[in-house]
Amino acid sequence: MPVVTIRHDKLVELLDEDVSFDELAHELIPMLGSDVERIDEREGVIETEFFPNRPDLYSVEGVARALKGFMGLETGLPEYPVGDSGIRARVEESVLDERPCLALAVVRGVELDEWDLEHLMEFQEHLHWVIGRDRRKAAIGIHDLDAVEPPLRYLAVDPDDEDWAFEPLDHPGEEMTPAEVLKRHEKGREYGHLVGERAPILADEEGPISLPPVINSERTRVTEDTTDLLIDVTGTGWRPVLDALHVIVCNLAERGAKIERVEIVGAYERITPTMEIDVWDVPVREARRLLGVELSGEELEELLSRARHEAVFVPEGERELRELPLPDHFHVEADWRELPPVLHDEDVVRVFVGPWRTNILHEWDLIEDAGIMYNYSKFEPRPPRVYTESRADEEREFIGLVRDILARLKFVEVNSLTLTSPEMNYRKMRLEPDGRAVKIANPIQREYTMVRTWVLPSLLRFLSDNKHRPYPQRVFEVGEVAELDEEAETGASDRWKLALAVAGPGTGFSEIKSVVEALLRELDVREWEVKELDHPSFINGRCAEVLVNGLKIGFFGEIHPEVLEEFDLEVPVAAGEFEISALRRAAGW
Amino acid sequence: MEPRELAERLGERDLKILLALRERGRATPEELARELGYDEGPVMRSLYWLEERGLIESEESRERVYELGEEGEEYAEKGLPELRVARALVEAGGELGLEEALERAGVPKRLAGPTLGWLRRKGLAEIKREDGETRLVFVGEEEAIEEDLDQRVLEALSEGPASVEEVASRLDEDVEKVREALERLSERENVVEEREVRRRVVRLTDRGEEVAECAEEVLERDWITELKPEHLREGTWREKEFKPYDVRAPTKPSYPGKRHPLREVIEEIRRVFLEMGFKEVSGPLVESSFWNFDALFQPQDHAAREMQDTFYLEEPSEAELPDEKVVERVKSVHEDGGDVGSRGWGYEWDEGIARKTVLRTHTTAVSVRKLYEAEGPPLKLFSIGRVYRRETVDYKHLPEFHQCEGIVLAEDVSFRELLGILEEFYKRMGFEEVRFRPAYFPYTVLSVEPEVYFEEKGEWVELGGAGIFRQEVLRPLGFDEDVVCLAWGLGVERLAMMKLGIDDIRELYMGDLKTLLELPSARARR
Repeated sequence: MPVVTIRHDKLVELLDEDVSFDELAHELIPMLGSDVERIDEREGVIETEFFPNRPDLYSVEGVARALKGFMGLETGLPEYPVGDSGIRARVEESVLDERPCLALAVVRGVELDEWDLEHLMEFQEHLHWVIGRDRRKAAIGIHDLDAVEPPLRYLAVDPDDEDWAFEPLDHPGEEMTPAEVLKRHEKGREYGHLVGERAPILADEEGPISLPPVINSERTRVTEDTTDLLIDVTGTGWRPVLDALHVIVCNLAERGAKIERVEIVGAYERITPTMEIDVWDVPVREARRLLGVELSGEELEELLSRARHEAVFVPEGERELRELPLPDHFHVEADWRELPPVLHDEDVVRVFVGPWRTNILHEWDLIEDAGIMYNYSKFEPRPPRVYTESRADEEREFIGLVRDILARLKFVEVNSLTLTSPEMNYRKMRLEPDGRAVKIANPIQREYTMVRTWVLPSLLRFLSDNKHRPYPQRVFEVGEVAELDEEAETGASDRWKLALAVAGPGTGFSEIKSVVEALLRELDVREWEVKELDHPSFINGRCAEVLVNGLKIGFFGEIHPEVLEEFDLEVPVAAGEFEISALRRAAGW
Repeated sequence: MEPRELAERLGERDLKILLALRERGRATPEELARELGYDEGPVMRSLYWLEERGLIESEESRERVYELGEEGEEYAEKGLPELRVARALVEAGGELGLEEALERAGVPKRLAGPTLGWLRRKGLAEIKREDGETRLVFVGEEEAIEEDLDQRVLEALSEGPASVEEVASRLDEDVEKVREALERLSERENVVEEREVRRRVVRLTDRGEEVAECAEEVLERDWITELKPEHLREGTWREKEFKPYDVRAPTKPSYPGKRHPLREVIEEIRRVFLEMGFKEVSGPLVESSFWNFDALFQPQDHAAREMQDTFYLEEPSEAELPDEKVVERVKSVHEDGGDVGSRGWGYEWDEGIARKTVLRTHTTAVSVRKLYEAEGPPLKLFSIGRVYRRETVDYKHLPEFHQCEGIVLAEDVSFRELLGILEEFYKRMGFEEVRFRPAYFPYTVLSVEPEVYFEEKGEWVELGGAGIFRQEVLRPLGFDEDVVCLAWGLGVERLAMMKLGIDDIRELYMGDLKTLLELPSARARR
């Protein structure tokens, strides 16, 4: 998840309120909902992870807006000035098959020092990850408006066409065609796979200013001297494109900049940013039920205003909304001054949600907002009064018994990973792969490419790792294994197996047999049969399988010296492996 | 205690060590073990205790030792190149062409130069040129080949690293000559390596001297050390004195058979859940994306699904989906919110992606499966199981670990009951102080991360996550809007590490037998 760097002095300036570093780092920012990663008091910097549901908090301005509400400094929707830029962009049909959606905005009057500029670039990259899904669904370009010569065109071109060559960012003086950018520019190589047969181009009168979603032109680079910005967002769907644009312009507006709309014409017609407001009705009863707190309608209204929504309590049967200071440049589809579309038969709080809040999918999300503003530390925990009876899983109980018996037989329990490799699971054990393994499609380490099909190799690995420790060593493990299973819903089934081993000079078949017999006796298995078994991992003629009522429940014997050599062991090992479910049946559980 | 009394309480081995030290003055533990015919372990235990009692003192001495390098090991076995060449010459009747001599001796050509040098320096051969060919003529004595000191030094070193003196004593040779041989060998590359080692040397203190004075007498005294059956049968114990023991002397450790500490912690968690009225459930390790992600309202292309790195499977590659009604409802809740009052994620849901198999990334997959099968509310379920994440191994991460998860499904529970149950659960797990911080999970609202106060480190530690299942999760499974489901879970290894006092998660898996034996079982229960 993106780590957002917050500088104390920058945040205080935006808040216009003196908040101590300590309170910010240890109280306010965590309780707003984030995992603080690093606190550097000397530098006055907090690095924190905000969650993917709140991209609006991925820059210090958004954090300031949220904190103002949390601290009660400023509530409700903020007043962001919005006007028209008079700039027009034409979308050509050619781009509809490539990267159809374009949204633009102008932001005037920004002052960015070196840190702000870097912070803005980081913000942009975080949005690329969380909303853009690595630029595929949405990609943002930020330009110095003074360097742009409107009107703009958005079209798809032949990537080799010299007419569309331009100087990409960080390569001044190197004019490249789109195809060359994709081949030679570092960003081109990284994001080139997102460009189809024809390359999307955003151009002004002088030529390309961007090759979305890859790179902008050097000509429109934003510097510390830039005051006015042109922001473009392109993508494959309108929701992510507009979300990204709104989050970025509203956060810039929070630092005092003015937002201006851009008219998009041609293949479709739109005016962006739309600054569209979402309207929700939150039943007061539902909030009380979910939070477990006896809130009044007014209190819920207050909490939701602190969450920076415009909120108004509408009592049951009320026909007119109170006058709201809802800034009128926000756009609401229905006339919000009208009655609620459905006459409510209960108390509700009508909530107007700003366009930067991309995560409100359900009224419960607003109840969560109210809960956070109430402050999680102020809720009084209380035990649930739900009567149920406990019941342990029978198989786990049985495994507990097996483990107790082996511990009493002076065996030490081992715990291994279930992930393994064919090398370990088969080859070192002198087995051929049987095609039954659950195989990982995207492994990262060669040692972990499949789930083990038996536990004994894990035990031999343990013995191998501990060959410098004194002998004799007696170890066991009860663990999961998995195998392909056509009958199973997921195509594989997992089950528990027990493996046990004795290692050391002088050990052998009779020792392991005696232990196995003790285990069976303790489990109250009364009759069993031992038959010679031919198993490649064991010495021929020194391996046996155990049958109960004619069914195989496991096997044991002396490990083959070739296997011992594979595991670098220099002492004899006698070992066995049993199916837990079969043992359980045999024991009458 | 008087020296005599003390001597009486020492064991036979301790006394023999004192006597040996009185004789020799100084000795290393290895020398004592060899001389007295004991294993090193018991001698070390005795020395430790004698030093504790102020009878001996030890000091570290630095010593230069030599050991074989890579080439040295080869030469120790096959012989030095010049000796091999000399031997080949003798076998061929005294003279050979250079190339042939090297080949017969099995000496690589790159060593031709140095080997010629050594042949001349040791006076074993002379070089002559004949028709443009270099030929070697043997000029030494045959015994010189067999008795070559350099070679014998190498062979002595193959018994293990040793100081000059030790090599000399191994060979029964003059120290100075051995030193010269080692110097010669050091001129070659990778033959012998010199290194400084610290050795522990012990000697008697004044008090040790006093006690050693009495040692012989004590050793010879006729009294009962070990009480034997015949002493009892014949009643002879009545006539004899019992040798007193030093009750504080260390003994060889005993270890019980043991259950694994992680398993002990899991048992402890099970006990707490069972005490709190929960029913234990389990689910498959190989899971469909449907249950692992989709049923939990994790969109198929959204950052939330990437919060956990997932192992997808090559085999089996596809899972069956549950009955169509549920699949249809999950699809519509993703696409446009369906009929649960949600906006949905606004994309086209793909059944093929939902069929993809994964190694389950969280036990929440088990909870949601069980909710689907459930007859309730009310219902209180828990599960503890293995989960997998695509992570490389380091001290904090393993590609698999355990999670536990509890859910409470009822009509009249709220966020406060969630906090109540978390507080109770952590208290029973041994954490008195719990606090709550807002968090995010795609399948819950009022998501919260509990933090517990960790006394040992004096800090708050995040331990798990919790929340109330979203309507987008519950309703498609067939529950109506009155039902609320509280859920929480935590990583078992993290908890185990805190309880057991372990800093490296790998210790719980790639275990060391000694650590397992020595870790107190009681810690898991504390």
